Amino acid sequence: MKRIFYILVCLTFFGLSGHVAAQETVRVRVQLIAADQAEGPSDAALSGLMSKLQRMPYKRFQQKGSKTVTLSAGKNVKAGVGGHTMNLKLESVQSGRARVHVNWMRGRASVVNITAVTQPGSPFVCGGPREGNLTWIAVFSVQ
Amino acid sequence: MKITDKILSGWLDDNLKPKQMTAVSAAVQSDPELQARADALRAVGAMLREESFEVPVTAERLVQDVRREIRLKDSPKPRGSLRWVLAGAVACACLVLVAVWIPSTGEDRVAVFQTEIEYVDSELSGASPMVYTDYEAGWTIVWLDDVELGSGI
Repeated sequence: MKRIFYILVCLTFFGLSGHVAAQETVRVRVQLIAADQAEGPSDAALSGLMSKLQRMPYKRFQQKGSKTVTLSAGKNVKAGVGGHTMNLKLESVQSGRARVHVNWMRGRASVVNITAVTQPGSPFVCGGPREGNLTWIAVFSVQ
Repeated sequence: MKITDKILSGWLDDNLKPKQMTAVSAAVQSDPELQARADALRAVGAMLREESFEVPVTAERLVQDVRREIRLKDSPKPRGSLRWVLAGAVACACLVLVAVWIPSTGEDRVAVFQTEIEYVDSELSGASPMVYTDYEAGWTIVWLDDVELGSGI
C-alpha cells in the first residue's frame, strides 16, 4: 500500500512538472496595423480588435501582417511582420505572467525597445510612428 | 575439482550451474566415497524435513506472544493500509486542486491585471514614448508621438 501511495504521489508530481514545464514557453501574436484618416471599411481581420482600435483617433485600420511566434525563455526570435521586423525574447515566466522584450525594427532603425510584463488576455499596443499618411500600430497578445 | 559439502548440497538441491551439475553428477557416479557423502546429506535433509521440534514454553516467549497480540489488535493491518491509501488520495487531490487553482486564478486576474511596461526606449530622433493604460479598452499603450519613420532610418 505504501508503494501505491508513493506511486500516486510520484505520478501527480510528474503531472505537475509537465504543467510547469509547459509554461516555460509562451505564444505571442503580433499584429501590425496601418491606421489612417481615409474613409472606407477597416480590415475584417481586425474585427476582434475594432472596438478597441476605434478609441484611437483614426478612421481606417488595415492589418498589414500577423504572426504568432512561440518564445522559449532566453531565446531571441525574429519575426517579419508586414515588412517590419519584431525581435522578441521571453525573459521569464512567473506566476502566469511573462516578461517579454520587444525590439521593433524598421529596416536598420530600431523603432522601439519595450520590456513588458504581460499575460493572456492583457494585450499591449505600441504605435505612433508615421510613414506618409499611415500610422503604424503593433498589437502584442500573449496566448 | 574438489567437491565440498557445500557443492554437494547445491547439487542435491539442483542449485548449481548446468556445467557444475554435470561435473558433480559424473563425479558422484564414479566415486563411491562421494556417493556415500551424498546419501548422508540426503538423509540429513530428509530427517530435518520430517522431524518437528517442540520449542519449550518460557515466560519470555509468553510475554512476547502477549505483546504481539496487543500490537496486532491496536493496529490491524487492513486499517493501516487503508490509512495510507486515504493519505495518498488526499495528497493527490490537494496537488490536483493546486494545479487547477493556479491557472484559474491567473484567468481571474485578467480582468484586474494590465500589462506593465517595465522599460521603453526609442532610437528614433525626437521620439518620446508615452505609456498609458486604456482601462475601458483593457490594454496598455506605448505611444511614440510625432515620429516620422523616414526621419530616423
